[in-house]
Amino acid sequence: MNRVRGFGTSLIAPALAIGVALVISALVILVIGQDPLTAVKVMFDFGDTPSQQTQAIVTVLNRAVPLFLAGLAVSVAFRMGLFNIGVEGQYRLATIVAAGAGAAVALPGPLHLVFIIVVAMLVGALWAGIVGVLKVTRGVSEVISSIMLNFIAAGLASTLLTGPLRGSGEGASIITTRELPESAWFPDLNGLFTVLGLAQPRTELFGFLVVAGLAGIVISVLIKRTRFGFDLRASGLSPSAASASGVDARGMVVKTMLISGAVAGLIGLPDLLGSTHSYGTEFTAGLGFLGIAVALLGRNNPLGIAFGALLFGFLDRAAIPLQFADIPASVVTIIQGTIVLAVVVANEIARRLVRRRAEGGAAVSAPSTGDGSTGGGLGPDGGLPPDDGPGGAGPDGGQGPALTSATGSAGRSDTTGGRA
Amino acid sequence: MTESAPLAVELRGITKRFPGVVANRDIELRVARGEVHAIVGENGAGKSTLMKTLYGMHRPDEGQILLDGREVVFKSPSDAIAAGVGMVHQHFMLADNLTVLENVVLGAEKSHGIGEKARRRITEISDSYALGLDPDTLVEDLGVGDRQRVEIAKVLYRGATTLILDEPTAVLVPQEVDELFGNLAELKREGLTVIFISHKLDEVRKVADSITVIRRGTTVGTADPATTSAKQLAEMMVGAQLPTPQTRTSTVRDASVLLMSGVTVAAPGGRPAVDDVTLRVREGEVVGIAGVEGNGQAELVDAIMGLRPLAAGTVELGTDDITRWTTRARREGGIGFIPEDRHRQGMLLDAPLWENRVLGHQTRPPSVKGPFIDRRGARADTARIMSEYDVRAPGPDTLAVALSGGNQQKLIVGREMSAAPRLLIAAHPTRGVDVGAQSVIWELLKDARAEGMGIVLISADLDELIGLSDTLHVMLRGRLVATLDPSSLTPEELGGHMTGAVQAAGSPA
Amino acid sequence: MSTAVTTTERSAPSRGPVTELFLGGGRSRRITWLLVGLIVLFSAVRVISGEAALTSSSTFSAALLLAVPLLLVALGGLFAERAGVVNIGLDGMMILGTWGAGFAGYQWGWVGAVVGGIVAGAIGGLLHAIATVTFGVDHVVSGVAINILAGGIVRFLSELLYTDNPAGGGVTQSPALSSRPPSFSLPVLSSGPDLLGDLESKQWFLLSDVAGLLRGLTNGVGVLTVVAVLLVPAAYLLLWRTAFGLRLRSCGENPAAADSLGVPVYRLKYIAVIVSGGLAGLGGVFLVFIANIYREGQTNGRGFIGLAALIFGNWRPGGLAAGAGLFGFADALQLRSRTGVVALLLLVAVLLAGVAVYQATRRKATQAIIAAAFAAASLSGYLTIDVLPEGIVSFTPHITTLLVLSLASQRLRMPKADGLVYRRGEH
Repeated sequence: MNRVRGFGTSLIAPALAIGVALVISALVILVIGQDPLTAVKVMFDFGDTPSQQTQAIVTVLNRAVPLFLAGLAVSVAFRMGLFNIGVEGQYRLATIVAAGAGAAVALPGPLHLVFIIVVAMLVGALWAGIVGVLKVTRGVSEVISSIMLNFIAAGLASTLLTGPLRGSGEGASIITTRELPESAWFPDLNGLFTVLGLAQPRTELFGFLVVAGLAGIVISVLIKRTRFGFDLRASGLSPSAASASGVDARGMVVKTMLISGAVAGLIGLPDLLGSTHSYGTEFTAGLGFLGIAVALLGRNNPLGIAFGALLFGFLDRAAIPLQFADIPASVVTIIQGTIVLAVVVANEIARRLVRRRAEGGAAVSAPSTGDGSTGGGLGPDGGLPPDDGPGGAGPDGGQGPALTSATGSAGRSDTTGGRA
Repeated sequence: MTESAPLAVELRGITKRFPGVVANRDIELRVARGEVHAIVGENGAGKSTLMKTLYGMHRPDEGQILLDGREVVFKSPSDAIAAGVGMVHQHFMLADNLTVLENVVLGAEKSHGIGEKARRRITEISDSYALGLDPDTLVEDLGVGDRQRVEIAKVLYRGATTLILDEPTAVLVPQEVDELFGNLAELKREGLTVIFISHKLDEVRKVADSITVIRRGTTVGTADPATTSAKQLAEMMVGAQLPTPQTRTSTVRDASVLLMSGVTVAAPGGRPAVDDVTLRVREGEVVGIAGVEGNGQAELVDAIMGLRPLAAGTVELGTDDITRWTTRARREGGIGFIPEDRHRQGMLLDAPLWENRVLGHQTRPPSVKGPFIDRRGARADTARIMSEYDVRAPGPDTLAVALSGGNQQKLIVGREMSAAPRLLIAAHPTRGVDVGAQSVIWELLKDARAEGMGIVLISADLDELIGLSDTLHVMLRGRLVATLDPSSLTPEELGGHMTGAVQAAGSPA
Repeated sequence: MSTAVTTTERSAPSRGPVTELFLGGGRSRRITWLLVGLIVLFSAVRVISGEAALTSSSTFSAALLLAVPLLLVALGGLFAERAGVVNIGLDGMMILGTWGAGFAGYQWGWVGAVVGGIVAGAIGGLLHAIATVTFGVDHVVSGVAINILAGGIVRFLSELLYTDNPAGGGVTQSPALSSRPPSFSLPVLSSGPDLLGDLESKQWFLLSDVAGLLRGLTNGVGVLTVVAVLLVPAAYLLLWRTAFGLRLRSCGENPAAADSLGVPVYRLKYIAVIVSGGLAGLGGVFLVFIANIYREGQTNGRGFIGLAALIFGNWRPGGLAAGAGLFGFADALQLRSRTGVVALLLLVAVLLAGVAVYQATRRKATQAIIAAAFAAASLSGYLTIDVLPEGIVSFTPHITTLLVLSLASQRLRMPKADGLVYRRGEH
């Protein structure tokens, strides 16, 4: 019973946040003179013919898969108290290198796919690893270094695309890498529709959905059920308690970034292997930041992230039908942005309420001594200061709160002087 | 003796209660103008709570505060500051990256601006009271003694006529202490009143004109340093009645569990936190370490656990040299740890109890099966610990933050004992714990001792130390200055060693 | 002073007069020498490589133009971070500023654009302040959310107001501004007889380079540029010489101490973050002035480069101005002459070699070796590469920042409580 209740309370914050965001968006729609209810109807209108409806489902799912992977990557780092803003650059670089490498070799079907996946994960891990190493050896904040590396990755990708990995001819308006051979095309899941007795959609449902699901399961098991995962979560909840329990803090930072980067490397693969078959100037950017949004919405839990990814995918798909109804497609971006802001505010409030309620239950809790009087065995002066651990949801483990301080704190490390 | 001038500060019948505990009970304090008045008492005696009342940080439940004969009520520290009371906190509130000038004028910019005028005023204050401060130095570059003088300058700048210093010598080395006392003499000469909280009797007797002793929340009496000896003071502080250790058979065996040789741990700013400590713990022995907090006990613990590097010395566990071992290896090798600050080092507050049971033992059964966490095993074992160690909580899935301090501590004790360590480090094991849980924990420690576990017990609770220890060391300024026999110990002796008033003849220097 | 030096007297070894000239005299003199040295170095590299663009006035003009938005954003970051709030959302606030400038500009001219841009940016700042100060949300998360939101809002508003608008514009851009801001040139030296231009064309070592520098900075300079440059000393005076500035900085260094002294920490943080948004918005205004319209994507990530300039400048106005100038210069050089950027590699090689020597004399072996390795790489790059690919050049500011952070993280001094989620009573 407790389990169910706990689950329920953890849903309240995101649900409330989404509710608030929807209300705000409805107001925005009203302001432009349209009817919010129409907007809702349009968003849920999946089309008239069965084929159109399954097509809509496919669009949502195809959009959700990369978002899910992005959220997953970000959540691994969040769990450890790190802020991996560099997902953006990690997946871009991983995708182009994987596209280039994939087009340069010839392997039988499944092996070719595995090869590309491995390359992508390695590149993503490497790029993220730089951030981790800089943090533990030079004390550089992972937020700033990731942001810088994002730009560097974009520049490198552009150089590679117009240089050694160029596949398109001269003067082409859209430049891409060499197209992947068919052995590297991920089979689609459209057969599923036939099995379920539904109409065939126009485009293909990414088979990578399966890989994403697997990734989700693996990460979930890793974090929740293994010793390593325990160490990781403990480091995120309370770095000092984790150290006292034997966790090597610096090694943990690097390993976490490597894993997060490896998952990030997968983000571009659904599109690469399922539809575009090359990396080009039409590459979908911005998934890194949306991944952060999805991870926050899903509270770093793979199931929640899946739901968040579906929600965002659903909103993305709704952009086109909304335009037909004379509602600007950018309403979707506003909804998404508002959700993010509302979610973090709601999470913060929820966390404080839970703490306060739980602490209230503790008997004879000594008052916290703010001015640092000497504690002792007798009397209230022995009160322990409140733990700043998971505190203000900041990405910097060093400063205490799991998700704290970036550039400085937030996400700023405290290891060696400098920007923590 | 007739008093012609009203008392600078008088407290009558001050009482302050917190949930479950009475911090101050019927306190009486009388401080004359122009006097250096010391308030002494042990850790936890209620001194700081009293000072917070005087400084306006909270209101007393009963009693009156009189300044210069007039009753005052403080609603906040600003009221106190306006009335001329200035507090120099033990933990300095200074911004490292700002200069002395900036730190002093912050919040009081209206008095003399922040430029030349302020600089001149600060120099004036510094010269009048011999503080030796250069307004343009960065606080970061200042040593501890100088920082304290900046705090003093802060209150003087705001026109304080009564200064309260909270444990001012806690972080100072002897030369700095002498400098501080020189400053206090200057303040006195200028007609200011100083109230000085401490537990260091030798220092107090050197500088105070009058002493009030507080014990267990109430005033025990006043003393005149000129006519009262350190031993008598210690007796008042600690109480003439010391608990007699229960007669019990010695369970101390021959084999050594822990041997620390010449261990030194560096600390920023010169004096090492742990200075050439040699310590042995045998199987079945409880080695107690007494001492006022801040004399290196925490660093000693860190050294044993591998959380801090050693500047010199070795640590042996049984027959293994563990000086280079990681914390995890040490835990796996059989060291258990009940940390002093359980919230910071002992538990994950936002995690359920069973995960807290796993903490520290995440490489061994029953918490672990191969590379995986054995959830069922851990929960079952947590339930066992909860029943065996009387941890009162709804179940193993309850969040740790929901438990009272006592129950949290019992869980930690249970978890550490269950791993059957060879050596258990128990740092302030019953701090912040209700009386019932306290006796349970004491029984557990005694049983463990009987089974051959070696225990290092660090505590500020003399009942605990004397009642449990087989051997008792006193730690002062990073060194072990005395080794005492608990069964033949007198309170004055112990108090004296702890506060440095007594140098044990022939004890390690 | 005694003539005999006794063995017990431990005085510092006296420096010769030349050394004293170079190293003595405090910080300002050292900076002056540094600048002089840099100018000489640039001159030499220009002569060696034959790249006139390296020190031409058109390059410096463009550099100034490109540096100003960075400067303004960096100043915005300065205010926020000095008060202890990390502002990753500067890019989003700049975006809001560009839109606000476009919207107000086409209706009410360039003055309206300035106001509109600042207000729009400040609103973004307000949002960030509410989230971080009142609700205690993590600063980075809030910043990221604002960036996402800003992109959506401006697109939405453009769709709403600019489609089917008789004045022009569309989904991704506004109608043109109805008036341009004035600009100035120095009368005799930079325009008319243009003496500096003359001197510059002579291509003499050092003199022509300095002429180029001066002319570039004084020819056709917009009023907003002047204001922006003046804001740098103004920010210094405000933050380091007033009571308000002291209180604001204390919030970023030790908010608990400030609170204990009666400083209104929450209020100051609010003000700082709103100002920060306004300045970022002003940076956006500048971009709009260059293009004379609002265009989507105008900021091009400058919000983050500005942040990089702030870090590079060690959170000080002078430093961040130098950073903005440096990044702007690299950007301008790359636009004017792609081969000119390669010449920069030679410059970098010389500088890094100097760093390597410096570290070696201080016995910092690893750092010396790393610097030397990079110097060698730079030199070989200069010798072998003709034109740097655009992609690589695009991340010059970012990799510079990364290098600075990695090598100098000990010397960088961030405000101590930057990024700390401050809740009164919990500290």
